Amino acid sequence: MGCAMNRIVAFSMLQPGMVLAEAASIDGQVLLAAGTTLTSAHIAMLGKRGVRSLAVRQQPATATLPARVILELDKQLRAKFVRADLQHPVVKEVYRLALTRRVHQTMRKGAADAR
Amino acid sequence: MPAEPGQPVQNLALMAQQIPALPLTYQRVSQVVADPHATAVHIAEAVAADQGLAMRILQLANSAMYGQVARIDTLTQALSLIGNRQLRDLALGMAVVDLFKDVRAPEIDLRSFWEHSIAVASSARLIAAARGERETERNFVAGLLHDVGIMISAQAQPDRLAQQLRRAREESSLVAFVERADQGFDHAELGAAVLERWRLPQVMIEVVAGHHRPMLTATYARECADVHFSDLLVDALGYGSAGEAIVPPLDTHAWDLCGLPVGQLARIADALEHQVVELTDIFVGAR
Repeated sequence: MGCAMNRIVAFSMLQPGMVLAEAASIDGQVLLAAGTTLTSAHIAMLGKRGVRSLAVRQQPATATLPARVILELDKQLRAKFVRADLQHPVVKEVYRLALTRRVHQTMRKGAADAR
Repeated sequence: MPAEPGQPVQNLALMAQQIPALPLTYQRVSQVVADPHATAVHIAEAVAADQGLAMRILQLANSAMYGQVARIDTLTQALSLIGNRQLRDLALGMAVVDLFKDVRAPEIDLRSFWEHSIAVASSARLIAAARGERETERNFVAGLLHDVGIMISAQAQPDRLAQQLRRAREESSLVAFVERADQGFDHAELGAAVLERWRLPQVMIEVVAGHHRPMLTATYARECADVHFSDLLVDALGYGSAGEAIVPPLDTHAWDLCGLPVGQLARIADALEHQVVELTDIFVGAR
């Protein structure tokens, strides 16, 4: 759950915003460090240097669900917390974990439906 | 119908009396474990007398709850891993699940009910373990039984319970509040009365009685706090349901008693993600 998974992406599929899981290098020369968030300038540069594919981080859960879906999950969860004191730090953390679990469940369900 | 003064308690006592005794196999296991002269072989024999129990104890020993790499194939191996008293407590949990396996009530789904209970049990156990305690099965079983009053009510008055659950949902209210307003007692008191009838340990009785009102618990305040907080956590995370539509309010004093840093909650939520479905399959039977 929530663990960062890496995937190998062909150069043609690279997009701005992807985060490098490993350094991008050619012949031992590091072009971009691991953790770099790709810009279109980066992608152009990588293309010129002949990079074919890269390991990028699987996008974090919240980035792959449309904002309106997350807002809807948040709304449903808030209704359940109507008697809870969301100002209390532990309730706040419980809320965060509960929303994260719902986001993951919705993503898994989406992935299963797509199959 | 307005209740007569004194009526509610009588109803509670009446309902508690209708509940059957715990199965003989459990009573036998409990006796053998209490006997200082009994050996592991005797205990294994008592467990083996109930095939369903024996099978589930083996599954449990091989589950994520114990995180064993090597396979546990025999009851004596399972016993040395789990411990005698702990095994007795787990057998109690299984006996109670079995006792209510034929309950049919509107608004209550048995598997969902036990999934909630088992998630609370696991969470209460993990909190005790995070404090460095070693005998965490007691917390597990207290958590497993915390809502047993709902099962008793579902068996004795299914339609009235369904009405109460619906009303709680409509009013965004705790089920226990609606029960108290409607009949003068709640499932926590009812559950505790039955545990008393079964002569179960005081710690379990107090935890069941106080899980919504931990401030009333004197002797076992910490165990009660563990279950109170776990109930909230599990309702929020959404593992099954015992009929509660809202996340119960937090007793902040109880949270302090748990002695858990807020930062450890994510680890507990993660462990639940790995354990709850498997444990529910073991206790209730696979879907």
